[in-house]
Amino acid sequence: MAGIGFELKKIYGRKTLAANLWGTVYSTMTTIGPAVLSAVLLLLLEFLLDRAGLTLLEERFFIASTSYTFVIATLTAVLFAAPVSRYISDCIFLDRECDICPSAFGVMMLSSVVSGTIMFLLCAGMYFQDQVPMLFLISYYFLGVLVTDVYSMMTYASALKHYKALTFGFFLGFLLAVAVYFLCIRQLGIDKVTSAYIAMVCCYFLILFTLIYQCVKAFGMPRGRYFAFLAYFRRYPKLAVAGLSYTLGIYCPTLIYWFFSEISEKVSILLTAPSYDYALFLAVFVNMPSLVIFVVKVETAFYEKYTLYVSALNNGAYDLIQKERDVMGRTLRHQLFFVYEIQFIITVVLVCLVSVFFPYLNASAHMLQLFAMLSLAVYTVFCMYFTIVVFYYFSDYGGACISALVFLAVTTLCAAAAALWDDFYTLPLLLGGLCGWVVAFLLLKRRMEKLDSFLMC
Amino acid sequence: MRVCLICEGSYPYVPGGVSSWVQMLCSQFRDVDFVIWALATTREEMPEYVCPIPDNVKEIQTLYLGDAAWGKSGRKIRLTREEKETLKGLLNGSVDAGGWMGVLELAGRHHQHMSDLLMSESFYDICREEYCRQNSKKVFLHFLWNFRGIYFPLMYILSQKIPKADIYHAVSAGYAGILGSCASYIEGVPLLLSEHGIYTREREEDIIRSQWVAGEFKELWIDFFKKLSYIAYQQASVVTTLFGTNRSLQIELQCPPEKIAIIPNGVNAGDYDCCRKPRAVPSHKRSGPFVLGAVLRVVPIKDVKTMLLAFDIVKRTEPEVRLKIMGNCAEDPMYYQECLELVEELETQDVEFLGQVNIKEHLPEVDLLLLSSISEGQPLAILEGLAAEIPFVATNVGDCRALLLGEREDDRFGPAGIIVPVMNSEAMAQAILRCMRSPDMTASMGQAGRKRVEAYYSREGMLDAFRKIYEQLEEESHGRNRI
Repeated sequence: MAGIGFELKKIYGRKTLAANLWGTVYSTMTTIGPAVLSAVLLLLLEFLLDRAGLTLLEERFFIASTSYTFVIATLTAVLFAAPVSRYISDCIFLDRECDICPSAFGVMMLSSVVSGTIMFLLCAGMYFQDQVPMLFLISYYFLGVLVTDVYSMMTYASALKHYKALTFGFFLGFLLAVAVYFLCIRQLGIDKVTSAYIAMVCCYFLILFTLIYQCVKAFGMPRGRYFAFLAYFRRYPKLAVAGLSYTLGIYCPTLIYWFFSEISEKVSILLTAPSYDYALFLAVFVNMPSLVIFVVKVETAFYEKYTLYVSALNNGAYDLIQKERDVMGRTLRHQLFFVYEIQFIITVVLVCLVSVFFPYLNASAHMLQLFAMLSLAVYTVFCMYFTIVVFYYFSDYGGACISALVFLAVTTLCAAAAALWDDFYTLPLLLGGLCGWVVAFLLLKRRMEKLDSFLMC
Repeated sequence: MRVCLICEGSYPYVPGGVSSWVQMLCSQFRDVDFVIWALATTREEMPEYVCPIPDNVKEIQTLYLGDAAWGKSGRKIRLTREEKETLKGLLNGSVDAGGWMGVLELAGRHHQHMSDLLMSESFYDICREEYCRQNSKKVFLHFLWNFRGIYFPLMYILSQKIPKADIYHAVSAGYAGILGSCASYIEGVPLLLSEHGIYTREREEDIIRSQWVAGEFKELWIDFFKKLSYIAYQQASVVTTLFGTNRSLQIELQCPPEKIAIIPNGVNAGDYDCCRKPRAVPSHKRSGPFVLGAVLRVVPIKDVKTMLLAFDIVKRTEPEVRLKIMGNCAEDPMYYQECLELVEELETQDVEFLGQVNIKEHLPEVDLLLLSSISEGQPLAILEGLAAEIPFVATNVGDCRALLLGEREDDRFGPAGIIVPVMNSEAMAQAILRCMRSPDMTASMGQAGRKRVEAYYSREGMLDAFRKIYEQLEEESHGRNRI
């Protein structure tokens, strides 16, 4: 979240109700904005498709194909996210902001190649097996690439100063999608699923355009050094591994269940596990508030103490360093536990509400069972993530890497076991999240005990 | 017999008193094989030998401090409890000669990773303990990095390959002394330490004057050099010094008095016969300008500027006078440039910077020699000048007073020059004018100087003393005399 702290401090510094609201919107947009937007857009399109009388097969195909798109986009974007975030921070710190925009283009180029290749293989498979219409395949291919690019560009969103324009671009894209959908169906006579895809392509294209435009506006036209950020993979390999392992850990059970479990279903060449996918989707959704709360809390209250501590390290006597370290430690503990506690309450309440009300929306009991456990699992995963982010502040990429790898290893092994036994599908994520959280917490505790020497050696 | 001479910033790369002394030792002891272990700054600053190397110098092993690469490799070094105690002993000043094996083992074990050792958590812990022990209120990060900066060259040199020898002879304390101590301790052979000046005092003066060490850390650096000298004094079997005052200073710096031998510098007076003026010509009937000379390196410690100011005063009073400055001008180009600018600013005529020259070719025309140093030991330049029967006007530093005025009870030769306070151009100018205006006094001072050198500062006397020490140390080392 390079640069977000500066903006949030500025917004919350005004101490007005409007500033608080705006701070919430800003932090929401820069943390979970794309995910929320994707979810809302998908739900809306699903609702519209339902209303338009979609067949069950079409609906399953739509859900499966979009799931693939977003999983591919997420996993591709995360390949670069952590080192790029560090690169952006360094560029800002070293007053080399002119290098940021070229790296954005470099990241987009590479992620487009990766996701484009995968999407091409998927489209080719669909075309040769089921002769899926070309117009759908083209829009599907572009959606995959565009979503990947938007996700990659979101790493830069927090460093952009023009967050009002950014938020406006997001909502404009949303409205454009709805308009294009109706235009395709009513004026151009295109089939419903393809129309939905064309609508999403337009939406993500506009969002991507806004992001690129704002990036160029903020940091200038790119001139060379497009791939300078790649040096950060060699410089911070643990950071890259930590970022990738964390996201891979979340999606590993999903991928295993898609291809190797009995809850898997096949539409065209696409294998998915709808009940698990839907439950996970809801579980992530109920835990999202913590992401916003964490960003606001950490980037404001903790960050302030952190900068005081760093300043003491650089310019202070040892007594001052000790004092500032203790203050920062207390603040960190307080903020972390606040997020742990408040999200636990939110999760419990939302799980109860979903369990009570979703049966009326035709949600199956099996899905709701999975959802309850997965909500808890995602809660532990997010708690681990917050702890890992603290490691980033102290440049302790080893701690972050170990925690994320423990999470990935436990989740993958347990998911493989669950797929073999065809039961306990929610346990892997829960166990992985718990192990990762405990390891991260213990490592962080140890790090805090010898923080000065770690930072000075 | 194989003697390893350990030279820091001198032989064979930098000309000067110590280098001349080492050259004399090597060229006179033809039956001894010498190995030179030279500590140099960088390959650029010290690219080549400045003097011919005698045949019996069998090997020159140069240790360039500039080659030490400082960097964080990311390699984590964890020290054992014993290693940590050793390092702690070295850092907090409680090290003694007996703890040296630990330090060397430490250096050997972490060879090529010494900068990582300084970046280790153990090093950090020791620095923090030291910081707390001192109850310091300095910026801790600066304190830590100063410690790292201080110990980095030391760690680097300690990890180098030690040349084999029967005796290690450090020609100064400091890094050369510590290197000699380590070699002596590891190889189990004796160490001879010869101090021309007092290394600790010289560094202390440098550090106090320097701008590269922040005020609050000067003490830390001074303390570090004191530690180095302390260890070398403890490890050495014999410590030689040039004169009594330095002996007292060494004792003050905790050198065991029984180890100290006073061996003054020496010159072969006969070598300078060619520079003496014929007595047949009365000095007051000489023709041509009065020639002043100075044999020195053009560096700040020689305070050439005071000499130039004094010469300017003299020149304004007695225009028929010239100044010849003989010695290396390239060691400190900035200072040399400042001197040239001063001459230009004063509009002083007849000042010549001759650079590195054969002084015997120039001494015959010199009437009076000058020495304006702010710090000296027992300058060879004075002994050589006196051997050439040329009197001196010199500052009151080191052993200059004894050389010119004679302080021994049995010394009846009279003054060989005039002593003036340091950094006092007016006093120096008046002394020069006095000599110029009293040619007979000047001539008799020259003769007295020659007699003093012949009596007390002969090269043979010095060489005999060192030969005896070498023999004694070799016996100590091998139990037999192989010279």
